[in-house]
Amino acid sequence: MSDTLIEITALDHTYLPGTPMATRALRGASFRLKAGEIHALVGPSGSGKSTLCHFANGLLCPPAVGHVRVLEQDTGAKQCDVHLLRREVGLVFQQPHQQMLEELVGDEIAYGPAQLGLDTAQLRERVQEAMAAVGLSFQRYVDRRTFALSGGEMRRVALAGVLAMRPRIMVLDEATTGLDPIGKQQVAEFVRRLHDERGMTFVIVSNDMDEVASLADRVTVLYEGQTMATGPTQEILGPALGLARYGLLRSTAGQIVDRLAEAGLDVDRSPITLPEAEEAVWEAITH
Amino acid sequence: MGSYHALRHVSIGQYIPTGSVAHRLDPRTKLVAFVLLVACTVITKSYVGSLALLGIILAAVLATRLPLGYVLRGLRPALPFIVVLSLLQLAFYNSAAVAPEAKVMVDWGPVTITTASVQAVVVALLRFLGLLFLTSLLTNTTTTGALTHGIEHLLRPLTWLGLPGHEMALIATIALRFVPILGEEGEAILMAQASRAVTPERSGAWRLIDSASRGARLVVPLFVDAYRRSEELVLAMQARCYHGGRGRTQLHTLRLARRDATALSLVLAVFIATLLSRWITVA
Repeated sequence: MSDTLIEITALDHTYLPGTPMATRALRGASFRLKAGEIHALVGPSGSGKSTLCHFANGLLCPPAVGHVRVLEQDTGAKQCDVHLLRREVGLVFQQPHQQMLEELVGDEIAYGPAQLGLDTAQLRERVQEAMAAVGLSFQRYVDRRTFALSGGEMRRVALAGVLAMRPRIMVLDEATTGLDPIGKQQVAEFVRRLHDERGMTFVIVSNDMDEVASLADRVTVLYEGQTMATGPTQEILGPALGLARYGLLRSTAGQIVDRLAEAGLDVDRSPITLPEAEEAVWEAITH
Repeated sequence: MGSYHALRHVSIGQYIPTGSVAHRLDPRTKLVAFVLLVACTVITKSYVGSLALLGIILAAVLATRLPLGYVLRGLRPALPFIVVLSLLQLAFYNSAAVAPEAKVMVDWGPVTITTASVQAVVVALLRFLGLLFLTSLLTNTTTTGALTHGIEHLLRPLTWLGLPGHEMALIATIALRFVPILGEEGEAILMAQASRAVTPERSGAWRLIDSASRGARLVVPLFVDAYRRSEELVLAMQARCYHGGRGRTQLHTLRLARRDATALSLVLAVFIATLLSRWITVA
């Protein structure tokens, strides 16, 4: 069995084609996700990141131009099992309230597994397991109103709702946007824990380069619907690529070492995280 | 700024958990009771009958431990329409055709107010209040999920006939859930428009005209927003394997209890009493 879970090649997509509102979201984009990795999709607004995620989850298929293979299924093929794709590739939307469908937290988390025909005991087990994974107490939250939760709690319910379907891949479409620093940290810890403990594969869509630097193994840069670069995080977020060309900034650590280098300090400009930058600056000062 | 918050006072469609017996009733019981009580409200035409029925419905509201002020606030957005419709009915009610024996109270050109038109307006107002309370009662004590599940069970005979029972239930519950959401969205749009408005707010009769003009400006953005929301909802449902009602299970399975039998008996008694009183009045 191949270790490539998602393979998207030369994909084109236009919303509302043939109308005055036609918008070309993807122009020959490519993307490859390997089993067990945390892969970040970065790019400015309107670069096609969310559209690519929708193809990965089977929300958009079949492609008019290009090829999409998810879990060894060609989504353009007639025999493609879209429900299997949606079960195996969990998609967490950017705004958690967009995906809230039920009034109570327990029902909301059970929504996906309920579509699979599980009995009440199995549903309860899934809900408890997913709530524990995102750090929500079952007793305290199961009967709480979904729409009365705080932003951070709602985000965790959204993550639990997808996790309860036990997917192989989780796609987090800007899942930390609008969260306070603690909320962002909680989501990052959740991703790291599930990756380390269960070997789960993640696609994280983000414009927060600090988050990408600390979490991702590999990064793909999208710009105006095209894949501009893909590779290990250190390489993509490093100084050589020039993220500014694609409307992106380096991580905070990268920007610090860049400024110091511009000011005349002979410092290594490759660091992308703060501990790396600290080490590089120490090295430059002491030698 | 208070007028911009009027839409937030839509109390219909919001689940408020208070842990009352009404909250614990099976949704099927509540739906059947709702239909029977709506029928009672529509059938009753006398002052006494309408007042008695409103009293029963109010007692039910109190029993749910829902804040009465909150339920009454649901009236606020509809109040201008109620007043205008009541005045029109009062002035132009065709008493001569409906109740020729009615006593004329005011006769002023085309406007004729009779005892029958007054009764019609008062009964219509009581009926409206009753319907509003009943809808709040149902939606404030039942989650949308439970409602869908309940409606789906009740419409199961239709499914056997090949009609889309689940889809009909889903449409009804999503429509109810969207009432407060669209209320809040409308409020945000109104405030955004007002924050950029050049002309200051006027008082007196102009206020009503300004209010109507604001309402008209709200229609297009609210429609666009509702459309966007519905698209997002469809995507979220599909992303989590929604494929219709077939094979779908629930975290909470529906089970009828003794309290359901008691509640249904009480409502049935009210329904029979209403039918009997109507029959006696007609006879």
